[in-house]
Amino acid sequence: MPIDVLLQATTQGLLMGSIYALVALSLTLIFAVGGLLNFAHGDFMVLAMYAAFAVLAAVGVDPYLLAVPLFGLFFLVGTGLFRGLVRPVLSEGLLVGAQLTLGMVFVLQNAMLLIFGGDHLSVPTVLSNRNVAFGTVILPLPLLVASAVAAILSIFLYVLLMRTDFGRQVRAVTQNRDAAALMGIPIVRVQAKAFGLGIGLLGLTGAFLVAQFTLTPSMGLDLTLLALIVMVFGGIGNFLGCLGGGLIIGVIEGLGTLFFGGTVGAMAPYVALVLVLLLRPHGLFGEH
Amino acid sequence: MLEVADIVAGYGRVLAVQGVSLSVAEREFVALVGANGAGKSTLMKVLSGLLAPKSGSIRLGGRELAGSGAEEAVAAGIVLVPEGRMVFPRMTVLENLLLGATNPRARKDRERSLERVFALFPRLAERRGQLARTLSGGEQQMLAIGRGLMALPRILILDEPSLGLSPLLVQETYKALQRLNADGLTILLAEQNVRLSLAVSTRGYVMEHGRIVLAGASAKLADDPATRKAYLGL
Amino acid sequence: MEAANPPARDIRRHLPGLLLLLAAVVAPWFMSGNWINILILSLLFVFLCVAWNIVGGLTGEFCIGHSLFLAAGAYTSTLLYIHLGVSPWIGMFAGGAIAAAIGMFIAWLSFRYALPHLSFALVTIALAMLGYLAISSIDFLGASRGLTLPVRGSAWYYHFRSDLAFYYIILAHAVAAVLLTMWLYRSKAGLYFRTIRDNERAALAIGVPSLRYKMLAMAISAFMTALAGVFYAQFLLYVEPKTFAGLTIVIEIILFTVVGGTGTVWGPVLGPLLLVPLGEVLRAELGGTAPGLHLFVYGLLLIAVIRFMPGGLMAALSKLGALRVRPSSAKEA
Ligand SMILES: Nc1ncnc2c1ncn2[C@@H]1O[C@H](COP(=O)(O)OP(=O)(O)OP(=O)(O)O)[C@@H](O)[C@H]1O
Ligand SMILES: [Mg+2]
Repeated sequence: MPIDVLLQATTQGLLMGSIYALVALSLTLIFAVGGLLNFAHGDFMVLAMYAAFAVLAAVGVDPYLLAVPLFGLFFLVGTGLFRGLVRPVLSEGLLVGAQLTLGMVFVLQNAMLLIFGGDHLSVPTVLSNRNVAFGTVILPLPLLVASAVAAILSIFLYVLLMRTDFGRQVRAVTQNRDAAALMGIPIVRVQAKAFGLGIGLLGLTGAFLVAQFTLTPSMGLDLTLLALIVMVFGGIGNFLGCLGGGLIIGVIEGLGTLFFGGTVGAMAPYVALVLVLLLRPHGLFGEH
Repeated sequence: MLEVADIVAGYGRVLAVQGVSLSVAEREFVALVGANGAGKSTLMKVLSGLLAPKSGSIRLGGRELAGSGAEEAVAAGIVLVPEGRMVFPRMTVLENLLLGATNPRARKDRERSLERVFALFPRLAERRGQLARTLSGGEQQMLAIGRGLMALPRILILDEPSLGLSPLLVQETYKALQRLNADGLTILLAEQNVRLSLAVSTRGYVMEHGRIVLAGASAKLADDPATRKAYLGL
Repeated sequence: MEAANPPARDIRRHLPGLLLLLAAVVAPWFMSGNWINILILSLLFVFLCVAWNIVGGLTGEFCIGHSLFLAAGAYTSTLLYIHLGVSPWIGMFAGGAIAAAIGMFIAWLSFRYALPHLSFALVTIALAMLGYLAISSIDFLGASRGLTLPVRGSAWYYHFRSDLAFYYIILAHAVAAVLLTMWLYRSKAGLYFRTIRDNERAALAIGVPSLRYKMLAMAISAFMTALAGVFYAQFLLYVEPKTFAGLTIVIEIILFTVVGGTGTVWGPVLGPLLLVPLGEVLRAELGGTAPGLHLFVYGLLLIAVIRFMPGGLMAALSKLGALRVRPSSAKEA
């Protein structure tokens, strides 16, 4: 195995990994703040990609310009969903919440199928089909941009959670809801905002990722599963762990594909997930 | 200042508090004593807004607060240091304290409050960067009280602060409370430890099976044959 | 307590079920071929949901891996049939045994590593994905194209000229499954299942052999799901990974069960009986112009039920029933 092929696969894996990390961070945010396991997570991101495609097709605005508007829109959708659907069933427990989001999976995937059809779709952006070479490593520019944005957002989110009043309140709600209430923290408002932030980030990410994927309406669940794997790797609720977990999964996937072909590459993360759940039930970077 | 009337509260069909009335005046140090399961913690949860009462009224400075939630209660100035301390385990001492000053009134004076708390508990200042769950039991209790003070309470309610502490630490904690009271803080203290809490407080209530069965000056209560027999084992 | 019930009351209690059965037996005589197909599909899902409910409802383990069992049944019987000429009537026991073994292994894993609910769900979903990816890439299993079953055209090979035979076969499956759960609810095993569901630690403390009963529940459920896989393969005359090993069918099973009422005897019957025909009608009416509409509607219904009718249709029905019954029973007392 020539070293530059290895380098190429590892770099590409790291880049994908930073994207997984961001998706997993927002998944973790939603899980941590309300105890909701959001199976529809990837579908929201796919929805953003289709929305970007629709706007491009209709008025010719480049997807990259839609990142911020999509963030705002998805933030509102997220807070609305939290107040209208999620909060009323949170007290029923983890499984009911998971079932609710499974329902959302069906709704979102099939709404997209109804509107956009089932054909594979690639969305051109200003950066499509451009590559950048670093020595022997050649990287597609859209991937580079997407992962750079994901890395920046991950760091931004991390700082937000660890260094601001809002972030402290989110973590307080996560760690002890009653104690958080006793601090005078408006629990529901904090939860709704965190939820909105989680979904909003998917809107933003979707716009940046649209050039990187071939769209199909049903691709969201795979993304969710990858994010779940990263979340578990990172130690559920551990934000820093998510960043590491994302990179690891990206590399595992990249090297698995390189050495054993596409199927094993796709299977590797799931094998890793099962092993981590069994042997390190609190995650690779989890505590206890 | 705090007027509590006819509070009935519980969990499902269990009525843990069955019509309790009490009052705490400005700058007073009042103790609420009673055995295991008397309903003290339940009453404290109702006062702090964590648990909505089935009926009754809670007034602070004339404002009705019953059933309006913890955020309102804290904003109005009722602050609870809960049973079992409930510090945020995976946050630092400093972060725990900062969270205490969440309500808008306290947020403005956050830096000054922090200095005051660090002056009161120098141990917390030394350990400000340490995760709360790695603190000793006594330090966690200091943190819980300090966090309560950060909220700038008009009345500080403490539920069983002596729980799990060595006698020496209990003494220290109570001394700190007495100092705070002397500086003008109104305190309501729920305790199983009858002897100590009646020793530091000026007035007391005795609770039994969800009801107040005795009330009066702490010194008198401590001398009362009924209290002595039931709670002091004398 | 059961024996003490006077027979008349017993009959009255089972009357709705008996009527439903009677209706199911005579229904195809009055129906067109298309509707019989819809009913076959509905009953297949009744069978699948009842099977899933033994794990998902009775022992309260949120298993998303049932596609493994479905595929085990379908692929085992199909391979035995294609390569060795073994009748699916025999092959289905082989498939069932393999599925039961996988199920027991999962239950053992979960117990051995004391997996919390969330982790259990994730492990089963990961295993299901692994199964799907493996089947989609192994040529011997037809990879993503799947396998077509040769038609041998006799009942011995699970082939029938009319769909009516398929209808009665799956009806028999479903009825047996319902009877089994009714029995399970009253038996010691059922009591143990529920004890484990409500508080596993307490169950262990009072001496319920938790591991054995979890494995038993999983084995029963997996075996039944495999039988459904065999039936479905014979009915469609092909197997392929998307249909038999994909997550969609598991989500559908869970969704129908939840809408009907998880953990009840009749919820997993009611859910698919209402939703599958609804979906199929939507698909028939609008499928050409609006693919996925039926799944979209399923999703909306599920969300609505969870939000406004926690406990599913059965809980809502029994609430209605209680409203009507309470005055009269108060008089009796
Ligand atoms: N979350 C709860 N759910 C149900 N019942 C509860 C709950 N919390 C307390 N109780 C019951 O309410 C009654 C009063 O409990 P409470 O905690 O108020 O007593 P307490 O006076 O604080 O006792 P202790 O001195 O042991 O702390 C008890 O019978 C208890 O079992
Ligand atoms: Mg108590």
